[in-house]
Amino acid sequence: MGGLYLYCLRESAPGYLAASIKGIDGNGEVFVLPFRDLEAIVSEVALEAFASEEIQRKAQEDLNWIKEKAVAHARVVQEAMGRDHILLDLIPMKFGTIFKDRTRLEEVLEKDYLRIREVLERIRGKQEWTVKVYLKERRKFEQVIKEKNETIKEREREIADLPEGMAFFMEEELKEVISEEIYKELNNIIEGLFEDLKKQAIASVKNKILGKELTGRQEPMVLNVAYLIQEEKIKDFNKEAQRLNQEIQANGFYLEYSGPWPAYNFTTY
Amino acid sequence: MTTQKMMHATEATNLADILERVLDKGIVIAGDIKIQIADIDLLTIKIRLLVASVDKAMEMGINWWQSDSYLTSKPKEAELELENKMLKERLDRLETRIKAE
Repeated sequence: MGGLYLYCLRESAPGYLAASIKGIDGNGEVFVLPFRDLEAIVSEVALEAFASEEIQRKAQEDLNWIKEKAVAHARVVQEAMGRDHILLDLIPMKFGTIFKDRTRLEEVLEKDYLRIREVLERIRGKQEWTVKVYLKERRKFEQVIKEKNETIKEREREIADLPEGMAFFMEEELKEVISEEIYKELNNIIEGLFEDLKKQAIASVKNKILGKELTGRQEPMVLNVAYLIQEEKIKDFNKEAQRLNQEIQANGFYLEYSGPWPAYNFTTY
Repeated sequence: MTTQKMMHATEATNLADILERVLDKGIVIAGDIKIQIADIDLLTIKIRLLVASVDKAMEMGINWWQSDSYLTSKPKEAELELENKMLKERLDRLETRIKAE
């Protein structure tokens, strides 16, 4: 029997789904299901298959399966949002929501209708952008800190005045102080960046730092943020991000910003 | 400008970007069936294990999702099978020789 896999909800935009695409199972066509002044973006899936233990197990264990399905889900949502100059307000679903049939989906939409509308109002005219910061040159950063950090410099002066034997022990202590100060400075830089960009935004969310395994990069991620920004502020936000990127490169960091994304980070209710 | 690191979500999406959204974000509404995907932390651990088990992939930057875990484990299995077969044959030969003596 055919169930319905739900990708996202959006404001009515009759006739607008940029391309015909296959759904999560690589078979069922993605289509629009109108409900009041909303549209649900769905595709048909075989219920038995998706309810099976095999699928549930794959979803926990099979990395390739997870990758394939997550990408398929994200692609449909992206497609439903539109591209270039037409961007529709939409609420992306978390992965893996399936309804037995149209009636069941409509029941839930009816029940949640007010909350859905509320979220759509909240994100109207706004875009989600994300910023990820990486530490590219650890040595360079540490060097910069050592050169200008007052606590470290003071300790060094103290040691310079000590007799040799004493200095040896103090140097061990200095190493600890240095690593503490570096950690503090790292936090300062990250917080500063976060706050600077926040000025352009309506809302912000700090997300988990992603491991190298996931990013596929040598450089460790040190900040991962999502911002919700008014459309008319996007240019300023981009400019500010570019400026900050120049600034932090001197300290051994770089940042990447991307958008507009479906508002995954700002549509919960 | 080489320092400019700006991408449009529509054109440049890497897997990390997709996974962190689709797996950990988005609203949850009461469907009839819910497929529960491993969350991002568990996924990171799984990838780490996979990366650690495939020597070559230890060099970071190699994308785990491009190396099919089945494909990469197959050659090893085949190797083991072959070794097994050869040992059995050797054992058979030895046994026949002992019986003959």
